[in-house]
Amino acid sequence: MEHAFHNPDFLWRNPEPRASYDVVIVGGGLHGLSTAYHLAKNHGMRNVAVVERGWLGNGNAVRNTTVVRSNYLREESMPLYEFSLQRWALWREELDFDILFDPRGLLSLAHSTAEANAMKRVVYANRMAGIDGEWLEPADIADFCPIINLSPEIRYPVVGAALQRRGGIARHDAVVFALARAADALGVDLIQGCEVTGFDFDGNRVTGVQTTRGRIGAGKVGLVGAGRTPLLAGMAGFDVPIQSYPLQALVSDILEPVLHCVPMSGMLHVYVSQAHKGELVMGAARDTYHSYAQRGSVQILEHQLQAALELYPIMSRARMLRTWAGIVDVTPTLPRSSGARPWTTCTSTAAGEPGASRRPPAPDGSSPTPSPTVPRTTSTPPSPSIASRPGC
Amino acid sequence: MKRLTNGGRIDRSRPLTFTWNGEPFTGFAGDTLASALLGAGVDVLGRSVTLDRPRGVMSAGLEEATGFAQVTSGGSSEPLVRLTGLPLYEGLSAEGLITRGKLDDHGAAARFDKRYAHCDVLVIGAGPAGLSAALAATRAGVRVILVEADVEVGGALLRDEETIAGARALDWGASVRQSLGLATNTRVLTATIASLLMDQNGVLLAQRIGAHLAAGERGLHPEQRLWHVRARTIILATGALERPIVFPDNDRPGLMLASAARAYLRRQALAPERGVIFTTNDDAYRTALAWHEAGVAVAGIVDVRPAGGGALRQRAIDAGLAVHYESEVVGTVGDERGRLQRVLVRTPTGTITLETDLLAVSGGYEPNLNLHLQLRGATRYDPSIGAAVPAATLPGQWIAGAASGQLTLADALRTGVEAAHGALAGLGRIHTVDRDLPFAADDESREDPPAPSLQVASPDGDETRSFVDLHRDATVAGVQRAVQAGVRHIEHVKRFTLVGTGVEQGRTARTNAASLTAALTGRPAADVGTSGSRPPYEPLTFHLLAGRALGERYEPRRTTALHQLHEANGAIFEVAGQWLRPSRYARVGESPRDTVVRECQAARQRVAIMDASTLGKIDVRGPDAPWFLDQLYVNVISTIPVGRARYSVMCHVDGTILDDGVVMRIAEQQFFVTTSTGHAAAVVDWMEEWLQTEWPAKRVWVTPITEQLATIAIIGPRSREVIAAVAPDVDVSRTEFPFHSVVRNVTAAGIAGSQIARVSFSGELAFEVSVPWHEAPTLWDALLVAGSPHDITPYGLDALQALRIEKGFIIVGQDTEALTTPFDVGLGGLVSQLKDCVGRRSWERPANRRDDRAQLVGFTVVDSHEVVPEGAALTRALGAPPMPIDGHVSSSCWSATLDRSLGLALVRGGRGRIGEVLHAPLLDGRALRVQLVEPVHYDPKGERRHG
Ligand SMILES: Cc1cc2nc3c(=O)[nH]c(=O)nc-3n(C[C@H](O)[C@H](O)[C@H](O)COP(=O)(O)OP(=O)(O)OC[C@H]3O[C@@H](n4cnc5c(N)ncnc54)[C@H](O)[C@@H]3O)c2cc1C
Repeated sequence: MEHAFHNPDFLWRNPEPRASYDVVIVGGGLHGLSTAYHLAKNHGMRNVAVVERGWLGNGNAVRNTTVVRSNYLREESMPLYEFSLQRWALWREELDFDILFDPRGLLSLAHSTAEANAMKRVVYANRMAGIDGEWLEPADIADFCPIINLSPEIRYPVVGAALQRRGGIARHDAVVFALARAADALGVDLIQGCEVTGFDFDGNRVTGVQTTRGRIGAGKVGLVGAGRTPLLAGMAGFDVPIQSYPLQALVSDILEPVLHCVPMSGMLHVYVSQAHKGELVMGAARDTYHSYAQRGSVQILEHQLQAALELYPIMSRARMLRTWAGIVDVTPTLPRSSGARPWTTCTSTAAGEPGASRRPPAPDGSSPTPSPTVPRTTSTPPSPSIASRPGC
Repeated sequence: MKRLTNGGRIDRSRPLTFTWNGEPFTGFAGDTLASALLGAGVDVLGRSVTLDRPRGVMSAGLEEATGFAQVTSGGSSEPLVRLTGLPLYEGLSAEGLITRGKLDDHGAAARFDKRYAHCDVLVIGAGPAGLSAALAATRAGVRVILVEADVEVGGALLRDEETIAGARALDWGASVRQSLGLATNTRVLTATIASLLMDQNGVLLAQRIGAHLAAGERGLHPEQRLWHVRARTIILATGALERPIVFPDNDRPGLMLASAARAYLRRQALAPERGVIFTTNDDAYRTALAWHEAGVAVAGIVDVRPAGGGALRQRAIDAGLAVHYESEVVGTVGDERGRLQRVLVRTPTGTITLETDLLAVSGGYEPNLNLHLQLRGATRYDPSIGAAVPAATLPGQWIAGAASGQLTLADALRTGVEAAHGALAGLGRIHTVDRDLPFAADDESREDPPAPSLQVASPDGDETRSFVDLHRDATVAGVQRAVQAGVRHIEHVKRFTLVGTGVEQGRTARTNAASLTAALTGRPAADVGTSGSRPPYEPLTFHLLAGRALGERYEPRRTTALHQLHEANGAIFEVAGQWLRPSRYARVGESPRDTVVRECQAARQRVAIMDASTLGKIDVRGPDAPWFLDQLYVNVISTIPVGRARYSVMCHVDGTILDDGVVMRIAEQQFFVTTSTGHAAAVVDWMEEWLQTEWPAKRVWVTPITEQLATIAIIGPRSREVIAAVAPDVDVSRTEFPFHSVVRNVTAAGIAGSQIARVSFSGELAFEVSVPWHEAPTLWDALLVAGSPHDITPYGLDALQALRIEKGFIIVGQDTEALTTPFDVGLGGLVSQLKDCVGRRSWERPANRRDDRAQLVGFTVVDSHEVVPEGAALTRALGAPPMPIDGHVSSSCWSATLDRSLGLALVRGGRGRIGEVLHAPLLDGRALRVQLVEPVHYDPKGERRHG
């Protein structure tokens, strides 16, 4: 029999929007819910609303592949990811919700010396920051993840792997439910079916948002509408150097357990985990064309399954039960500067106060996004977790 | 159920043996595994996923929510195969399971194929609507593909006994099938499911071929074939699905959709001992009448509606069947194995019990719109059938028959032809109106309107046994809990209760879940909608999507023309993208370091030879070529004289390095551009992107020629002598052939049309000879002969690395990062101040000018001969983490020439830190100390390249 999830008896109220709030957060995804929760919890701000055009989590929050990790390269961002990873481990208790966070180990496979060196570089850097990281030779990989095809005969044999044991997966639906419930309990109004269609300004200051459920006054506005950030910024009258692309994922049928860690191959463009319920959850490269339609191109799925079968022959008869895409906001330089390929980018946009951002962005910052003005906690979930690839 | 002695479409002369859970059984050709099991009296197939309740087959087709099996008779065991879609074959062997499949290791050798097809009209579904649409389109002479999930065409005709144009519906279907089969412009694919709809009418079809055959018949057939179809128009004739009714204990083996019970009777001659019907509509009466006509006892018809005047109902009364109007089934009772024994019926006059072994249930029909919904096609709620119907069609698509919400046979025949005519008009075909189209359905009995979808409240208030989704074990109580928790949106209901998350996407569950939610939240059903549909329609086997592009066919393995010579020479190869390149030529008894030291010494002291064919080579020519290259490279290309070369760098628009290479001018309007191996394709793309999007009017032609020309590098102090020996006609003297010279169309090793250039990636005197690809072995052998007096030595990538690291030459992507500008790696001197180029503007950003950027430096290891691993982080403050990261080692080697361990690193503000000592902590806990030095470790004045 299958593990039965224990959803709580109560999740949230369904309030009518008030006339105004101190803070209006646009977007009820992971960042929006997390921001609202932490504003209420850490900063005592209770007069907060999250406005969501669809249903909570309908964006990338429920479309992602649930990988959580902190093995990123950059010194500047490592502490953020690490802080975040540690929070995941605490959330079950803090949010009193079984989000099924499971640090089962994240294995980044290398297929060439150059790739191995690039991955080792991450391990070295992580260790400097006190983040766990190990290097496994093929024999160790066989022990850690027996289903990987380590034969030297495959087209791109595995030459080694970086392992972050504390990386893992969580149940994404539960994360949405958990954060939303916690925010609601602290008095945050979660307003669903409420699309922001414009912004009101008094001179240079934002005073409210126009929505499909009427105008809502706002002392400050946070924009966390991943996948639609350029549209929202456009409504507020500023440009963001962001391009939006589909990123696809797929799941298999529910299967007996075969995989107990999260192996990823950046070179072959596939990563996979097996959820608690038993389905294989797989992700790959993002699509190469800009789009707001939440679907991608099948050749990416085909290529990704070729890679999967090269590495995991046991998956031959597993079946793709569902596939979908989310829209990720990609800045042209940010992903490269974070050592990842463009398709690995986090979808979050800093919550910008439109008034402030209307000034031309300061030319000296290397961050291309407007700087946050809503006090932004560092506990937002980490961005997608796909192995970086050497640039040679 | 039992097998009747007569009737059905099975072939009683062809019994087939099969194994279920290890036990042998017999069925007939024409059975599905589901019907064969039912016929063999196997009605409990497995236990449910969370509640562990017995479950049986509940449908005869795509609606199936519980009948799944692990099929073990194929090459590899196949999980979660839908029993109602699996034709019985001799030797089939399967195990019952409901939701959790198993994988095994034997699948990799199987064959799964792909085909690509185009057509004018793709008709999906071969029921009456699809058949008439396909026939009309076929007659118009356009290319038609008709797809049917079942193993035979007919759809609802296979279970119904209407007449069309005076013929039995089935015979009509067979005659249409025959005409389609004879037409050369039409292809009919059965056992094929249109699974995934893409934009612009792209469709993925999954066709089961070998997977439906006995082992001995599989031969060379692929198990399955994936069709990529691009259709100019699509007609969705996917029919309607029957909806169950929610009531207490509605999940027992022995409960089945009414249409399925009829299908099993007509197709496989299966019937209960005593059947009962529970319905909200007239269609289920057809099942009762069919049973009655076949001599099967009908214990009662439970109809939620009051009596009416419809013809079907009248026929039931006339046949003497007991009809209970305004009644509901409020419970079921099973035997010790959970199989249905009787049903409890609440009638206006009290609750009665009906003994039965099969309860056929119909909660109405709803359009099967999964494909339409995959692309978010619009729907609206139609209260007359209590379900969503299409509100508009997608561009290039038509929806016909029951899929459009028009449920009668007459409607199906008519809308099928109309859709075909619409599609033909869309294709610009003026169709001649066929006189016999649309066909007339002869049996147009008037039906009474159905009642809306139904959930019967449990009399004792216990809703934990009233199932909404049999596959996921989701109950009314679960939906109630979700709503009490504050859940309003149907997608949250789905995620809270798991309704619709199973293999069959909750095909039969979603409308019941939506109307329950509507009722519980006091909203009209139209406001709640149903959850969206994610592709595919039925699961697609991973291997089917992967096809044959596995192993050696996964990606081309690129080797150079000299590969066999390298192998014979003891080369150890390294993966470099798609290429395989020698990393060293090991001799017996040598350690890897020995080999590299030997190869480097040859290069520095005598002469060494390398296969450089993988380097990217691009021919760029045209009147605007000089101007064009000036735009892409940071230095001036247009002033390179013919016959000379220049090293340069190209940047992204953000000013970061994209690639480096040597550009040679062959003629006024022709350049020979080289790139690094890894960027060969990217540079061509980059050039084309600019030419096609920004400068389409410029006359420049870019031709990648990497695999047209093989290139061999000859390096070292004696290289000039070797070149002179193989190319006696060319004056390669120091004065006549200075550094960065190139000559084309000369003869080398007897090969006319060779190119000789003087370029150096080692700091030594060096030449590169390029010849047509196939001539490379001749050239290589000639060079070895000419070099033998100097003990010419082949060298690989490892030695190349050491040689270029000693010289401080970068490899883009190894010694540069995503944000590295030319200035960061000491190449600022290349940048021309006289012209613009791509990336230049971005260098003006203050962030790109800061002096604490990561900059290229050299380093030597202090007090140790150990080589620092590439990738190692560097810190000024060794201690407990967190340590500050000052940079990292990008290239590192043992330098035989300088007898020390050294390398290159990117260090924050590194240019200003020469002389500083940093620490490189290793994975084993030790740390090495490195001293920062200038990047050029060897021959800083660059004198050696002149020989
Ligand atoms: C296929 C895929 C796989 C991924 N895998 C991983 C992974 O394995 N690990 C990982 O850490 N991350 C992963 N991610 C990324 C992760 O899902 C995102 O980083 C995360 O969801 C971002 O949260 P968010 O709140 O910024 O955006 P979202 O969760 O997308 O939420 C944005 C919300 O804004 C709403 N919105 C937009 N416009 C408006 C408007 N005008 N008015 C009101 N509301 C609006 C949207 O409806 C949406 O609900 C993946 C993403 C995708 C697409």
